[in-house]
Amino acid sequence: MATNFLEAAGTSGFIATPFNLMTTELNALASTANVVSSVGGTSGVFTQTNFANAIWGEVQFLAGGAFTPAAGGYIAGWFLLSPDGGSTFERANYASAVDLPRPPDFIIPFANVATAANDVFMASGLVRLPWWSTKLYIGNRTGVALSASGHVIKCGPVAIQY
Amino acid sequence: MQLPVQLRQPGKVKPYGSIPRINWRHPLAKNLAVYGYDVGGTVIDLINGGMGFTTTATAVGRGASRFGSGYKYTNGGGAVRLPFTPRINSVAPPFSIACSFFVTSAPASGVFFCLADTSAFGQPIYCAADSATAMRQGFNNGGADITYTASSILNDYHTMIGVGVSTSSTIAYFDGVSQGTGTTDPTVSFPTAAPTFNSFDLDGLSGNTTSGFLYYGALWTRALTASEALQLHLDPYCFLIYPEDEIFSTIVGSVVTAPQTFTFGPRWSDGEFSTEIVSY
Repeated sequence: MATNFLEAAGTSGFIATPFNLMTTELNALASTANVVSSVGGTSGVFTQTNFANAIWGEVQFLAGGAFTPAAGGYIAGWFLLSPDGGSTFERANYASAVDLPRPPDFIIPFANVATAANDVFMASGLVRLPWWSTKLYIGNRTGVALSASGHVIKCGPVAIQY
Repeated sequence: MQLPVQLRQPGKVKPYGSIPRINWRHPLAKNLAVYGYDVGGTVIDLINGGMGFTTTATAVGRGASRFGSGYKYTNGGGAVRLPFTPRINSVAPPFSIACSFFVTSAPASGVFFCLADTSAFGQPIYCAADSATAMRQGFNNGGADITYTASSILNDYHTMIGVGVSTSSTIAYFDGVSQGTGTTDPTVSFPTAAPTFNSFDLDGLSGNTTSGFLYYGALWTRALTASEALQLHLDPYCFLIYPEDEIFSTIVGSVVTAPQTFTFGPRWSDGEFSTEIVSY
């Protein structure tokens, strides 16, 4: 019998409640600066449990206040993978403006327009979530410093079913 | 057993806004050395991992087109380059360079994609145009350009490919069709060249007359064939795997439980539509 592949309903479309990948780490993050998660999950480390074992997620940036990205500005995000369950991670102590030497796991593009509190900016497309324990590495490539406080990067796990 | 099945409709429209990876099993990916792909927010070199950045303080804005969103270049505006990679510090045949674009006004002696050096006109190979109907496929720092006339390139999707076949043979393809050949040796040593969009100069602005979108720029260390050039125009993203593609491969893999009693050929294509079914 034919069966339709469908998006799993979950709650508001998510199979687990969207959770914060980054919060205060983003406060006043300077232009071109990089930062590693240290607050969400367990001291900034996320596991499959955090991701509800989902394979895909929707990532969003929730603005905490006003800043005006330069034309073409974006935030790049990498999952820093840990091969040993959360003790050691991919190298992340790079200088300002230096990207990880592999493609990012997601980018969040911005328009050249001032943001306001609670503005939502979605990552460009569906994001494949990591199997391994991970931290999040963010590069501020918006061309300006983020404003003082209140910014959040969230991940909402999604799934399909049949 | 997993049975990946790529179900997306082939075509010139970027299928998704997400970040893809290269399907190295695909024949078109063989010897791919640089692939700068506009993911809708920035250009990423999916081979070498680098991310594009503006060559000067002149920024590039974004926009949406009917073939996908991404950087929207403007005549006289900014250019984007990818980080240097030693894979391309000496361009010797066989090699192939390709890019696709959608422009809304005529370029004037401008460049879409090239390997650029630090001087305004030091570019070993490039895809360029002198006007809306005069195309220029450049080899060997301009010493062996193939020029040809095209119908107006405005407001539609186009593909330019230059192939260095040997030290005595080059070919230019436009929209998958051969436009001419050359005999000058395209070999050039350029240790500092970097893949660059909308400028002949990797740290300045020169020939930045593109008004529209540059969807990708690529370099192979082999000569693409005529059939590959056509396929690249008709289905430019056929060798990319998007996260969305893998939804179906996972589901199908979980459904198939009976032993296989049939055999698929590795690939078939009628030019407009192709399907790849691989079992392992």
